[in-house]
Amino acid sequence: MTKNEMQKLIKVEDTLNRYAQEEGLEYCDIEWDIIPDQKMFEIMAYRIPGNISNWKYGRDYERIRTINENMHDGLPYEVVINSDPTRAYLMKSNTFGVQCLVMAHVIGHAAFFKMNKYFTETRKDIIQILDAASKRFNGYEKIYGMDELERIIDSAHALQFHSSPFDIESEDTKKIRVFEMQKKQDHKVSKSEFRDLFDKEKDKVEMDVSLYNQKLWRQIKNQTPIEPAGDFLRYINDYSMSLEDWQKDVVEILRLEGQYFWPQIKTKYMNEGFASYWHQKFMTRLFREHILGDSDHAQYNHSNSLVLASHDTSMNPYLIGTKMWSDIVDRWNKGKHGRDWDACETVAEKEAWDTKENYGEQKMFEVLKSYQDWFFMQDFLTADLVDELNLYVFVAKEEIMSYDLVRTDHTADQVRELIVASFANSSIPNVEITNCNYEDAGKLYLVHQHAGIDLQLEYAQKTTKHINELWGREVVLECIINKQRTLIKCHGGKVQVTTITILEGTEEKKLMGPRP
Amino acid sequence: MTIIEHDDWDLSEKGKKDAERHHEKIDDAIRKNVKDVIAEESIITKKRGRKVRIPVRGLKDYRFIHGNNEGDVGGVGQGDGKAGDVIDSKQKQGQGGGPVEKERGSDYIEAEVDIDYLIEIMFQDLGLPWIDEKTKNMKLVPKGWKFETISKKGIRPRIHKKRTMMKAIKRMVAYAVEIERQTGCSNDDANRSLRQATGDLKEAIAIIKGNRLTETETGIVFNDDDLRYKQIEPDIEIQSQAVVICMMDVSGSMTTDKKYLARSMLFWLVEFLKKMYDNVDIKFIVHTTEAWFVDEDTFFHKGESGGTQCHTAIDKANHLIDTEYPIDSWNVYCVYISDGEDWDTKKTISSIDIMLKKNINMLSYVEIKPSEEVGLFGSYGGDFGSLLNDIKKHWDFKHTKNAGTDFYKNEKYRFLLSIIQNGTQVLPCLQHMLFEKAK
Repeated sequence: MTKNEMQKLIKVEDTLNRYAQEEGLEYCDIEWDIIPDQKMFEIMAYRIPGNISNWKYGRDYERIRTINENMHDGLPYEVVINSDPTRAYLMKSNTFGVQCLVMAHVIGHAAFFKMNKYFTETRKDIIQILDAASKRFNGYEKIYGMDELERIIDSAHALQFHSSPFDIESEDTKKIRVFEMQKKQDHKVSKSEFRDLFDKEKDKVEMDVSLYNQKLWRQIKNQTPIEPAGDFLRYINDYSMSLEDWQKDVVEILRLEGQYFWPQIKTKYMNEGFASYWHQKFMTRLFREHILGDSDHAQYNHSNSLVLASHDTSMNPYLIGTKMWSDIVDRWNKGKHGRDWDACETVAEKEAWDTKENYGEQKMFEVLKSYQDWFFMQDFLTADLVDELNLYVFVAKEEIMSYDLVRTDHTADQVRELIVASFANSSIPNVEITNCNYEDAGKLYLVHQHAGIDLQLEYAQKTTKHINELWGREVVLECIINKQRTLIKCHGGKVQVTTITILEGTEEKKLMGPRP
Repeated sequence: MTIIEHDDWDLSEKGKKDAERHHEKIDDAIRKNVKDVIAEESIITKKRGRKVRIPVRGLKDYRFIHGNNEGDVGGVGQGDGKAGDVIDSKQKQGQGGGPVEKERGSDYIEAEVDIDYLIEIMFQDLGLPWIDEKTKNMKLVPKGWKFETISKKGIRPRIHKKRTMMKAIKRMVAYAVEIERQTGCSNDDANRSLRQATGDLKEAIAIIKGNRLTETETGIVFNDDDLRYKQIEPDIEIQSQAVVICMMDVSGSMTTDKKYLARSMLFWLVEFLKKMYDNVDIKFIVHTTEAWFVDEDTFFHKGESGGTQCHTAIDKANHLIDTEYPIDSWNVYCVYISDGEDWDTKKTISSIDIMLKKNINMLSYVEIKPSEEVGLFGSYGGDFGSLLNDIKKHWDFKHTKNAGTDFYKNEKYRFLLSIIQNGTQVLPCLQHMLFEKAK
């Protein structure tokens, strides 16, 4: 980059910061690194600069490089790390217009990181953590061998996104909390004026309070997990009999990495949509105020159209997200929501609807603060929007000579429902450990809380295998596959799948994970 | 806040190392799935490159994900159109293409692999069987250069040290004996005098006779005559010649699937031969109601249809052997692939008989019977009959079964039969054909 261009870029950055401030976007300072293309591919593959070594990153590194060498079409690459200060990477070979696009986009992400509630607990030192870990891991590799290290890393990778940064309580603190709650509740009832009506309660009152508490605590202490535990890696690290200290270190580091990505996975569409919404707004303003010229405009237009292209067999989070944000702003500006709006059925009336509510941007920031993708889709992907975006469902059909992907005749409402269902738990299925001593044999019992969509069976089997690698003893996963209650058991590399038929009238709960 | 441009940001070695590790894993996956891999149509339909991209399973990042388990694959897309529109369409492939095709896209990643590498995995230690030393018409294969002869003239770098030394020692010993004989001195004195005379015999004798011996050490003194040089010559290996005649039925009854299996089989055979043998001629014959020669590209890429007269191909091959590849100077291997529907099996059998009596090195007949047709020999195409069954009646075979595939072998006539039903049987069948240990 020439000195001239650099000065221009700095000017653009200042301007973008000013725009963002005017629009009410808050974010940590951003440090920009302009780096050679190969380095960019490396950071993209490793997700975080200085990350640990693993074959999966090598695979992605090659894949990105190959794609770039063979069919690079000008799609801009962005990498932004949610740290303090925010770190962002710009690819050296980008044209000036594209560089500005990426900057404007990254500012959107940085604001999302700062303002969305799911990011509040994210550690801001993930780069340093992983950098130090990567050196330790190299040592482990020398001592214990690559295969052994890889086995632990691969297994922990499979589970890492089940650790949210909000899981901060240890099992012991949880127990104390449950104990205190239970104690309070029990004693409260016993003081009720109707206590005489309940024989059971009468016993309690007569019993020595401290003796009762001791009994309660003993009971709670022996029960683990005291509440269904979703943070597998933490639970396994605390209770696995087979993990050695160095292995626990590996597991814990990958858990921290998982926690870093957790909010990003939960808010993929919102986040990319938000960043795209703002980059378009800011870029338009830069052109209007003649800070950028015509040649930049051509470069920007080309790249922007690639970012926001529609794909015929997948959903583009950049496009769908940004349209949803625009739709929210538009609807709340014109008051297109609420009971009257829902009741209105004439197209002409709907098109002309404008109550001059002018609440669009405020609504946007409200949603920004407290939503994740699942709820975002549920509340704001309207049937009208499905129609406008031409979203459809397709299925694979077998013909005589070929397999065809065919558009179904689902209505916009049905398409909406299917899309929302596919976002259940915002892409991280809710699986919990309910028992760590199943059948009194130290087996780990897991339950998938079905939210309208199955676990993908092959993946569930392989993941159960990974849990078994870490836990060391048999692992049992209970889930629903094709409306049938299914047990996936795994031990010593062997996976066994059995379905349980439910008898008429049997209470479902009885089958949901026996508790100690 | 700040923008920093890095010109010289080093790439860490990590990417390269991890990519290599990934390759190891792919290799491993390919090794385990090589049977499925070689049934990939994309490999043989692509224009010839030495590298092919093949889908590999098992290198996914497994974690709990939501998904549909009911088998109907689908998704959400975006764009103009109406219900019933076909968004994307994939041609069905050979046997077993169905489920694989369905799974692809999301589950498969593509790996770039060298064809030679696949061949190494598949045919480790295998080679053409029953290869004979043919007396006539051996082929000279240049292998490079070798040092074989020794000469008295040459350049210094090619001095043959050992031979030069031997020569010098021999001469010294002979001289010493001569001195002893002429003067009657001790062997030790003779050697010392030679050293003093720097190898000159007459001078040495004069020294002894004149009693001028002052040298105390003995040792070899080189003479220009002693020097020997290595001489380079072209290295030539003499190998028996071989010809492989590939015959394929391209008639109407050979459906796309069957042709694909046949081609896949011969493709790997040809690639293997090219890699292993420098001097194997490969001839291609296709037939419907008549047979004709084609080049390799046509053989692998063009379709035909029509009636079926299997004997035409065998006759064509017989003629070829008689005219161009006489048995006394060529190793002749014939491979014939058909679906077994033949309008005139009697003629075919008599043609095969003629071929076998020529004493060729091997005839391998592969019959392609997709599973739905197996067991229906009688009813399916009843008028034409099954060639394999008739062949079995005519000659005796030793029956073996390997990986669910039937193989028959007649050692006397070097006649092999096999039936393949799907792509995964291609490899066992080829291994059956190339059972000889490679040299």
